[in-house]
Amino acid sequence: MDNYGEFTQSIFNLKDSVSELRAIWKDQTAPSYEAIHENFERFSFNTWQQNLVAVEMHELVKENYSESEFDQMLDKLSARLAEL
Amino acid sequence: MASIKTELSALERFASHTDDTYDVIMSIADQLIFKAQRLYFDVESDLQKIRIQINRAEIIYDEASSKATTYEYQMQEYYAEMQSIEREIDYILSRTKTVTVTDSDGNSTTKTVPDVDEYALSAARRRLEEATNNYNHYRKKYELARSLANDASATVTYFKEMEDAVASALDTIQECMYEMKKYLGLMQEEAEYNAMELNALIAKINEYLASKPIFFPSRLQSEDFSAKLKK
Repeated sequence: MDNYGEFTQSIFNLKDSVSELRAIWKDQTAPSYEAIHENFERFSFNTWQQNLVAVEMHELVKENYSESEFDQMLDKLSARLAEL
Repeated sequence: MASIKTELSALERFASHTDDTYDVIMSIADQLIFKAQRLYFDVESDLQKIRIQINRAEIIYDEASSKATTYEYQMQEYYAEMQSIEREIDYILSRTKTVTVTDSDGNSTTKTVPDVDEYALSAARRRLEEATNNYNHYRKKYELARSLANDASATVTYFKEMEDAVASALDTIQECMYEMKKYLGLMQEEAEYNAMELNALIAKINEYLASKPIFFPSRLQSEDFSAKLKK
């Protein structure tokens, strides 16, 4: 370093630059990332909720409908028809 | 200098980490949609089975109703025959004849007495019994057929209620799939936007650094610059 004053100025410039970079980081990233994360959380939550509803619907059908039970009912009716 | 490089590298690590995280979340969302599709196909299969069973129940109802109509007609035929035979018997029993009776004094008087044709009466009663038996036979069959038709009708109604419920569940699952795909699309948009913003920011920082000779002096790396300072 030939000139101490130039070096000092460079150090000041560096400090300013770091502050500026941090300001850019804070201003440009933090709010948008928060929003993006919030959206992601909301979308993930909604997706999971929709999944739960789909699973619940499927379970309801399985709890209330039995193919074999319906077939048995039909078999009994068919047997009665055959006896007529 | 080290601080700026640290910031930049942290930012790049964050970008990479965030992308990885989003990839995992979207992969899970994709799996959830795939799972919902499996549930949809399973319920859709149940719905098709129910529709086949409804069709089977309707066929039983139609056949039972048809038989009930046939038996009802035969029942009415035998009932009409019974009534006819009963009128015939009434007629046989109502027939009279006039006879002349002479007493011991030689006086003759005329009297009206029953003139039942026992043979015809017996034959008519046999036919009445036969017609009654047939009537009862077909009435029983009619009642069984009608009862079966009613039960088949109730079964069709019950099956159709189940069909409506299952169809409604299927619609809901389809709506859920639609919503999940919508959210997955939105997440992809967010992730793409996020990556674009990050890359733009990294580019901006790199550009900023490049514009400051103090960070990247020409033909010197930062390490060299630091080494020079120590001298």
